[in-house]
Amino acid sequence: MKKNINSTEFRIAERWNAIKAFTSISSYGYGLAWYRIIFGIFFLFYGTWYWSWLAQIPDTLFHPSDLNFIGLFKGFPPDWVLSCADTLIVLLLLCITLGIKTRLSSALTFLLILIMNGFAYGLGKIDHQILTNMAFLILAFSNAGTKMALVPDSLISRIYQDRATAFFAIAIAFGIFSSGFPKAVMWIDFDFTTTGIFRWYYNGYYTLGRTDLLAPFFDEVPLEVAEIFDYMIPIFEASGFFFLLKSRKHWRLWLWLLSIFHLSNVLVLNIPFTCHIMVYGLFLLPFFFEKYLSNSRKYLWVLFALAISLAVNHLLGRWIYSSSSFFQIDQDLLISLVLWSAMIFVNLPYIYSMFLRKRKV
Amino acid sequence: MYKNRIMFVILLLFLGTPLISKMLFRGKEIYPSIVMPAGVATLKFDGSEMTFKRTQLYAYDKKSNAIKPIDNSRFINPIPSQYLKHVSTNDFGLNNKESVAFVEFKKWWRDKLREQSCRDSLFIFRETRLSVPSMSEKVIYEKKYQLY
Repeated sequence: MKKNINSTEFRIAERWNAIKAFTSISSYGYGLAWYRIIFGIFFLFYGTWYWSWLAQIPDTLFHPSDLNFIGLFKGFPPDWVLSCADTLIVLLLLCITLGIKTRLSSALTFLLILIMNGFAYGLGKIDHQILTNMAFLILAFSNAGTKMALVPDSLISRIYQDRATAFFAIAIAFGIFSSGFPKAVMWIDFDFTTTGIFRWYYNGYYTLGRTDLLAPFFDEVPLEVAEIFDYMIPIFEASGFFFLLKSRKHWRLWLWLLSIFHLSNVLVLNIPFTCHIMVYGLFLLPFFFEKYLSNSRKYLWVLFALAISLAVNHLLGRWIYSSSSFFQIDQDLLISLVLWSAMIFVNLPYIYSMFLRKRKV
Repeated sequence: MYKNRIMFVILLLFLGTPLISKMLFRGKEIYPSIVMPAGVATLKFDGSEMTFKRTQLYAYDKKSNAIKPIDNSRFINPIPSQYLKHVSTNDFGLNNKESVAFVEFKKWWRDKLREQSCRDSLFIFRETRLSVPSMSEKVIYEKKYQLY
């Protein structure tokens, strides 16, 4: 019995150490710092949170689900809270980008988004931005703010960063698993008269107006092919842990395939999920930046100026026009298409070299 | 000695409980939790057609006075379009006539109708069964919301 307990303890420790090794990101180079800057600019440009629209919604529509902690409140927050939150999120994103107390800024951003999104979900539906939100929390436990930063954080032991990234990888694998497993239960039915993927498609096409890009053509796909999709999609979504426990290159391969999956969702279902670029990007982008940007300062001040401009655009819009930004940035499907395509393209050399290139004997 | 096992169990409970709650108790989703949308519903193909439920808002066109479908997203904007079902479940905020915001909210919906060149006296929420490829539609639920 004691031997069994010890071997279980050992196996768990072994798996945990393996996950930490497979998901660790170097703090010695500049890749993580570049990721932090691009991360901040990405959210300042595309998808900055804006909650003042809740001020227009009366409390009669406040019906959070029973298990949403926001149910402790009786209604939506007052206008001044929403305005402060809208200003604060822009300033915090700017601080993260410029590297001003990154750890503190990231942790505050995580809490702010968690609480304010909770209020938005008070309309009765919980959207699924939790992984994006968690990315801020993980940054708070990393050394991303120690280089190329205006007010750098002190360097912390790699142990904490490795634990944080390992936990994040588990969260990503589980998050996608939580989408795939219920689908597997319902969709893998060996019944050619039922289809799951078309349910998503038709609901989006005829109710939500998702009729762009390749959506009009998906109708032509034969049911037999759709049935294959019904099996492949949930199996792929549920397979994250297999790749995570296999090796570093397998984990990156799965994230790269996930990017292709999201790209196909943009094309066919018009569902962008663009914020997940930066979620998977934590594991896919730093090494790319390290290789091609390294400690180059050439573009740093341009990017800082861009970040400040984007932040000013948002703040002016929020203070003057009660709008998300002064100049509206059209968060088009095409931008999403370009970004997912870029994500796939920049990682293609790595995938090729790790899996496809024949090694010389 | 048991540190890793305890951490493993805590992690399993932290991650697994919200997923089990969502799967077993429909609509009981914990927030915050690490759960992604599954969208598990399926469509039945009866040999020639597929039928699915569709939600659409309608109003009377200002010029022709004919009923026409309106842009769902634009109507409930700035509420995100995927919240339409939940907003309709709460009767578009029009079920509590004693509330202070009731009059203001009616005016808000009237403005939304005028934006889409519709008469601002009422709008209609319909759930239909739409069949493809024939595009035949059958109304299964309809509710009219008077705004005056």
